[in-house]
Amino acid sequence: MLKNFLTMMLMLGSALLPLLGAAEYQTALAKATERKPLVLFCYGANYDKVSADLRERFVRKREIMRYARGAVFLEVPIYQLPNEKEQREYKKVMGDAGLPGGIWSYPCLAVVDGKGTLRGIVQGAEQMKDAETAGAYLERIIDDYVEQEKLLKKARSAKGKRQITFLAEAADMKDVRMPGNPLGEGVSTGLGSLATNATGMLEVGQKMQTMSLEAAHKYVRALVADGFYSRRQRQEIMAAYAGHVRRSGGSAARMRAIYTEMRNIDPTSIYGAYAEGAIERWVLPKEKAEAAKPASASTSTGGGSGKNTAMGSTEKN
Amino acid sequence: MSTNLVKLLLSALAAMVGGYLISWMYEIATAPPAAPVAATTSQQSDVGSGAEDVPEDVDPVKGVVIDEGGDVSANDSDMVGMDADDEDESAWAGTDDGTGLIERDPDSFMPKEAPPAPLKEIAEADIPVLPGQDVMPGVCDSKTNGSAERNAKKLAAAYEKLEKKNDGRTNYHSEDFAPDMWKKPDVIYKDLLERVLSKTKNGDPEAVWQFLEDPANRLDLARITLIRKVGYEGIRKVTEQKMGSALLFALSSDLDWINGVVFSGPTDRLGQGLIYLAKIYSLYSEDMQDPVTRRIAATTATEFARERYSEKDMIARFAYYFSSYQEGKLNVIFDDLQYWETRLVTGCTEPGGWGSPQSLAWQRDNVRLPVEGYLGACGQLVYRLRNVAGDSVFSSDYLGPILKYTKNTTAWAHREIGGVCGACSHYGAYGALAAGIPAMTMGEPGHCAYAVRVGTEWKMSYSIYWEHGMHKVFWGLHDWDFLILMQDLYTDRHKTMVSDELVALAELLASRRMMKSAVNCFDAAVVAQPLNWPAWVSYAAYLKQKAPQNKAKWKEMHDRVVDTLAVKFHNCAATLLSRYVYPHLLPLEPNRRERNKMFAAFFKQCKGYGTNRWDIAPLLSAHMAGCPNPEEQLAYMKEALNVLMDKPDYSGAVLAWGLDFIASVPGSDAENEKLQEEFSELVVKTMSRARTTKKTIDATWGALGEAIYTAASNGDKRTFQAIGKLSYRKCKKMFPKNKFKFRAFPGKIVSAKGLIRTATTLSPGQMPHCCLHWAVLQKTGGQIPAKFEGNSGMTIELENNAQLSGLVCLFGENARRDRDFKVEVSDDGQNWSPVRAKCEISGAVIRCDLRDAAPCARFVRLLREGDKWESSIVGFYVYGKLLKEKSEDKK
Repeated sequence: MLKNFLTMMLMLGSALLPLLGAAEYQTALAKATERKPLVLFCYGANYDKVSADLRERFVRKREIMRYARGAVFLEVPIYQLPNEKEQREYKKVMGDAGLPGGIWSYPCLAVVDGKGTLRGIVQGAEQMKDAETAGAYLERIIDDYVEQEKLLKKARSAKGKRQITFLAEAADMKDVRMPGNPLGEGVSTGLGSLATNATGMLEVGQKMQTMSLEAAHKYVRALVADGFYSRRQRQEIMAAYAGHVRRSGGSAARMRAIYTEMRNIDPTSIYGAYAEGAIERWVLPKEKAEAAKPASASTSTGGGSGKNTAMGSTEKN
Repeated sequence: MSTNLVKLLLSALAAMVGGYLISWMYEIATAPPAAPVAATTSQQSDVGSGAEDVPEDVDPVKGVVIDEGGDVSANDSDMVGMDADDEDESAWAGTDDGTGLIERDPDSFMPKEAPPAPLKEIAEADIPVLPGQDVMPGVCDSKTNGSAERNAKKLAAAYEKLEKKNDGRTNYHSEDFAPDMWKKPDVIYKDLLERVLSKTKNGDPEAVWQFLEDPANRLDLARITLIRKVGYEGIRKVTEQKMGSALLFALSSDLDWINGVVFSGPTDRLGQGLIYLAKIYSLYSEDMQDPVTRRIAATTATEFARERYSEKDMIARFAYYFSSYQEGKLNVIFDDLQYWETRLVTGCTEPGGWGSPQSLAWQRDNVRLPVEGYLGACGQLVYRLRNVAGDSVFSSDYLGPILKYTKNTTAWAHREIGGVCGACSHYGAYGALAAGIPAMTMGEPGHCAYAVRVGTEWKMSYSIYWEHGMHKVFWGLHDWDFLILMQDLYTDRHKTMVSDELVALAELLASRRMMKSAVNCFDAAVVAQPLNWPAWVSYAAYLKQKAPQNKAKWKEMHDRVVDTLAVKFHNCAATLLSRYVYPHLLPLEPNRRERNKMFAAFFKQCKGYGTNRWDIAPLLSAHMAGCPNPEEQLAYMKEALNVLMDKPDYSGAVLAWGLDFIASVPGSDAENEKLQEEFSELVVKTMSRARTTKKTIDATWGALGEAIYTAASNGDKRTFQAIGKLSYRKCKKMFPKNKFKFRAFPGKIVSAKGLIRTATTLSPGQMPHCCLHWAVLQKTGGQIPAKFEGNSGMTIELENNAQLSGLVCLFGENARRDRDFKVEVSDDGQNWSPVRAKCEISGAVIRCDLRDAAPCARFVRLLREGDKWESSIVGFYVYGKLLKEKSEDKK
C-alpha cells in the first residue's frame, strides 16, 4: 500500500515538474533514462505567432503532456535578435550548451537522450498542427526510442553477427535516430559503411561505374547478402545499382525487378517512394517501347534475358 | 466569368497556399486545365509607353524618363510566362512549375555586367522660358550647401515626428480627385501643375522648403509624379480596368500609399504595375483598407511589373503573402517592413520554382527559424553533385523519381535528395523570404551564395569568394556595395524622402524649362541625401543635357561624390564617377596634375575596401581613357601605382589592372610595343621599390600573388616569370624548401621559365599564395590547387617550343589510381592534340613518358578521365630539348 502510494506520488511529482517552470537543461539531461528521454519543446519566443499559439495550447493547457509518456519535459525559448534580458532567459534554460543538431524548424518537440543527442523530432506544420497529431508522433518516437535502447543494450552484450543484427534492427527503426557511438566511444559497430566521395556520390555507385552489368550484379548481391547494412543503406545500394543498369541500357524487366525490390525493402521510406517514382519515370515507358519492338529486337538491349529478379537471379549477361 | 466565381477561385488559392492543403493543391494542379484565374490578356499591355498620345505642351511622361535600369518602351510580348502556351495552363497558377528542380550551371549565377545605361534626356514642354530661368546656376558656396543641409535635416525631422504621432505613418488623406476625374488625367495634371508651381513660386529655393512642410503639398507632388511616370494614356488604361478609377482615387488620396508606390524604389513599367494593382484591388477591395495589405499589394504589383512576370504569377504571389500575413504565419519582422524592403520580399524572383507559392508555403511551414537561423539553413540540404543513384544534379533525373512524392515542390524535393550550391543557397534564401524576411541569392564566380538581412545588416552565407552579384537589385547594379547603399539609403528614410521629393520637383521644373530652379532642386536633393543614387544619376543626366561643357558643375559633382558617397561606398562612388562624371569632366581638364589630384582625392577616402572588396579596374580605366596619348597614359600609370602601392588592399588589384592593361594594348606597331615594355618595367620597378618588412611581408606577398595570377590568366609569361623571381627575392621565407626525389627524363627541364595555369577557381584564401604557382615549376617546389575534369587540368606554357621526352607531376598527397592521366600538346594553346604517353602513378608521383611520341610543342596539358578531382600539385616538370629556332619571341 505504502509502496503504491509512494509510486503514485513520484509519478505525480515527475508529471508536475515541467509545469513548475523550465528545468535547467543539464539537470533535465541527468534525469533522462533509457525509458524516459528528455523532450524539448523549442519555440520561437519573440518572433513567431505560430509558436505562441502552440505553446498556449500544448504547454499552458498541458495538452501535450498526455502524450509525453512521463518523459522529462523542458521548454526552450528561441529568441530572434535577443536583447540582454532574453539572452539571460535562454541561458537560464540552456546554460552554455547548444541545442542538438538536426532541428530544422520551430516550434518542435525534440526527443533527446541523456547525452544530449537528438534521437527523434516532431517538427513542421504538418506534424505540429495540433496537440493530438503532434502527440501521436511524439508517442511513436518515445516508444521507438525505448525499443531502440533495448536493442542497443542487447547489441552491447552480444558479439559478432548477432551484435550486428541487433544494431541493424536498431538502425532500421523509422522514427528515431541512432546515437553517435551506440557501442561506446571508439568502438566500431561493424555495420557496413556507405562512404560518399567529395561530390556526395556513394562510393559503391562509383565503383560500379566501370563494371559490366554482370560484375555489378555480383558485387551488389554480395554487399546486400552479408547483412551488414540497414534497410535504408540497402535501398541506397539498390538505387546505385539501378542507376548503373539504367544508364548502361539494361532491360525494362531488370530495372523493374531492381526498383521493385528496392521499394519493398521499405515502401514507406523516401527511397521506397523514389523506387516507385523510378518505375513510373523509367520502367513503364521502357516497357512500352520494348513491347512495341519486334521480339527479335527486344533481346538486344543489353539487359539480357532470363529470370527477371533483381538479386539472386541467374540472368544471362 | 462572374466576379464571384473569380473571387471564389482566388480565395481557394489563398487558402491553398496559406494552409496545410498542399496535397489538395497538387491534385488541382494536375487536374485538367480550368478557367483562367487571372484577368484577360487584353489587360497586359504596357501603359508606360503611351506618351505619343499625350498633348505636346503638357506631356508628363517626357519629363521623367531618367531611369537607369528600366526599359519603359518594351512591348507586351516580353512578359514572362504570357505566351500562348501558358494560356492553357492556368490551373497551375500559383504552383511550382518545376523550374527550380534542375540545378543551373554554377557559372550562370553571376549576373552579367550590364553596360552602363545611357543617361536619358528630360524632354521639355514647348513653352516659353520664364525670365531668369535659362541660366545654369554657378557652383554652390558653402553657405548654400549648409543651408540646404540644415533645411533638409529639419524637414526630415518633421516627417519623422509626424509619423511617430501616427504609428509609423503620415496618415494624411485628402480626397481631391473623385474616381471619375481620373478618366481625364490631363485635367488633373493641369490642376496639380498650377498648384505646385504657384506654391513653390516656380521653384524658388525658400518656397520649395516651405512647400514640402505641408503634407497636402507633398500629396500633390506625389500625384503629379505618378501621372508623369505613367503618362496620360497609361492612367487612362488603368481607369479602363475594373475598379481602376476607384484604385486611382484611393491611391491618390492616401499619402502613405502613393509615396510607397512612387518613392520606394525604381518605377520602371509603373503603368503595368498600376494595372496589376487594379487587378488585386478589384479582387480584394474589402481588405484594402488595411495598410499592410496595401503594402503587400502595391509592392507585389510594382515588382512583378518591373520584373516582367505574368499577372497570373503576380496574383498567386500576392495571395501567398496576403494569406500568410492574415493567418499570422510570417515572421513578425514582416509586419513592420517599409515599402522598399517589402519589394525585396514580395517581389522575390523565380515565381515558378523556388519562389512559387507552393514551394514558399512548404518552406514557411517546415523551415521556421529566427532570422539569423536562415544563414545556416543551407545546411539542411545534403551537398550532392550526384544522387545515390549516380545521376547528376544538372539533369532532371536527379530529382525526377521523387517529384510525385514531394508534390513537385522545389524546396521539399531538394531537401529529400540534396543539391549543390544553387539549391543550398536558394533553400536558405527562400526559407527567409517565405517567412517575410528580406533575403536574396547572389552569384559568385562558379558558385551561388546568399544573403539575409539580420536587423538592418545584410549578412552573407555560403559565400566563398569576394565577388558577389546580387540577384535582386533596384538600379541594375549587382555589386554588394549597392545592396548596402540601398539599405543605408532607406534606413535614413526621412532624409531620403525629402531628397526624392526634391528630385521629383527638379524633374518637373526641368520639363517646364526652368533650368535654374531645376538645378537648385537637384543640388538640394544630393546635399539632403548624398546616398541617393537615383538622384545623382538624374542630376548627371540633366547636366549632360544642359551643360555638358560646364567644367565647374562637373567638378562640383565630382567633389561632392568624393566628399560624401565615397566615404563609405567606394565602389558606388567609383561607378558613378567612371560612368557618368569622368567621361564629361576629364576631357575638360587638360592639366595632368589636376587630373591626378582628382584621382588621389578619391583614393584618399579609401582606407580599405569599404563594405566589400571591389573591382577598381573600371575606375582606373576611366581615368586612363581620359589620357590623350601614351605619354600621359604612362604618367597616369605611374601615379596610380604610386598612390595605390601604399594601400595594402589595393596594391595587388592595381598591379593586376596594370598587367591587364598591358595585355589589352595591341602590340602590332612599334609605339605600342614600346609602351608595353615601359609599362612592364614600371610595374616591376614599382614592385621592386616596395620595401618588405616583417609587418608588410603579408601585404607584399598578397599583392604579388594577385599580380602573378593575373599574369597567368592573361598568358603573360614574361611578367609571370618576372613577378615569380621578384617574389622569391622579397619573400623568400614564404617558399618551401623541398628536395624531391623522382626519376627524371632525358633532356633539360623546359618548363621552369614557362607559365603554369590551373583550371580551378581560387578561393579568397588561396589568392594571396599564387606566387607558389610559379614555384611549382622550380626545383624547390611550390603549391597550386588543381582541378581535373574533362578538358580541365593543368596547362603549362614552356619556355619555348621544345621536343618533349616526358613530364613529372608531383601531388601533395597520393594520387587516385582509379582513373588514367593523359597528355595533350599544342603549338598555340588553343588547338590540342593527344599524345601517346605512358603515365605511371606511384604514390604522389605521376610520370608520363613521352619518348615514343617525342612531340614538339610549346604548350602541354595534363588531363584525367572521369569525374571532377580537385587536388594540390607541388611540383611540375616537363623535360625535353628546346627548339629555339621556332621561338615566337625571336620574331
